[in-house]
Amino acid sequence: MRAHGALLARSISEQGGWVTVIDRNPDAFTRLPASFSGSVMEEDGMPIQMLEEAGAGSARALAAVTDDEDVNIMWALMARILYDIPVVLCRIKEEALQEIVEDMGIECICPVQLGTETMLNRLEASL
Amino acid sequence: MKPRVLIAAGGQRAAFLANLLHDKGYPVSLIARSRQEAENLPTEKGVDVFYGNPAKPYVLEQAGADQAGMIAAMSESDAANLVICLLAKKRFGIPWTISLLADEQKAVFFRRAGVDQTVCASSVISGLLEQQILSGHLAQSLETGGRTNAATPAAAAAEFSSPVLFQISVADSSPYVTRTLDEIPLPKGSIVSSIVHNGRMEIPSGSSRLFSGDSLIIVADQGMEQQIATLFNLEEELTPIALNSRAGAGQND
Repeated sequence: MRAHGALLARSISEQGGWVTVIDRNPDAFTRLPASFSGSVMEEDGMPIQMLEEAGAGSARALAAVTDDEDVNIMWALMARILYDIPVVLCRIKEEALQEIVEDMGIECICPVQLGTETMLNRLEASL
Repeated sequence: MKPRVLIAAGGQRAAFLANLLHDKGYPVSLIARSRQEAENLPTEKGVDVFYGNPAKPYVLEQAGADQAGMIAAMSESDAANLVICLLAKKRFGIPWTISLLADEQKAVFFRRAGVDQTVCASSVISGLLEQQILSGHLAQSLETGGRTNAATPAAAAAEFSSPVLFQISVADSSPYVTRTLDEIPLPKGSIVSSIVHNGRMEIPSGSSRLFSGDSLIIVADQGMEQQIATLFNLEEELTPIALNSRAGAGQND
């Protein structure tokens, strides 16, 4: 989950949303603030029934934000294909994968791309 | 001209597979995980070896993905294998994809995501274990069925002989590949009790079809080894899995 996921979970929770955070390393949950009101699940190996237990059947959205792009894609596709979760977000790096995955109904977010665009805008504005 | 086969990751096992395919006349590209691995894999001359992360398009491209007819994703990560197959199919148009899968429960999901075939090692082993246990149970029940009051072992053996179990593998060259059980003229006194297909044991019916790679468990009267071997075009001698040895012992118990 790391910083990205922790920040996302915290923000949604602060806005009143119910969040379930899944991570294979229980230490990751220490990044969540004490005020976090959602639930956490520790798992490894991405077993399908675990998605079920996390509430995939009634979830409005899933965000796959691990450091591993392949893992994010597998989570996102499981959410889309097995549970038809309405909004599926996937953190991604590789452009070619972005096209393929978006074609399958998943929204891709590329932090490096977004960060670069922001920086370019700032540079252009000040040069 | 046979289609090029791409094998992505998999280390030594992948190298052995590459050699096997190469021996059968397929052009093979193997993508090792690192340069060091690439240099040390026991690949035959003629197998093209590359290295890199096969879940990256430029690595697949370098290995000839544009011309490949099939790809086998053999990494240790199910997620990576899924991505490799997606790239192969959707970016490079490789028509047929097969993936190793650690979690059998994801097999249906993989197929729905577009992977053509999955192979789960643990499910194959569990299927074979079950088969072994089943033949053990059958052997036991056949043994307990062998009670006799005959006066001598010879008389007991003559009184009845218990059925035995054989295991037959269906090879490409088997005369009954793709045929149904109905079409196999099994001799009277023999029956196919189960078929192990893709690691799964099934109780067959007359319309069950045989495929290359399947195993059959046949229960037959003693002495039918030769007939069955001939029927299936087998050269090696059939040895029964289980044999009742109690026929002569009954009278001494």
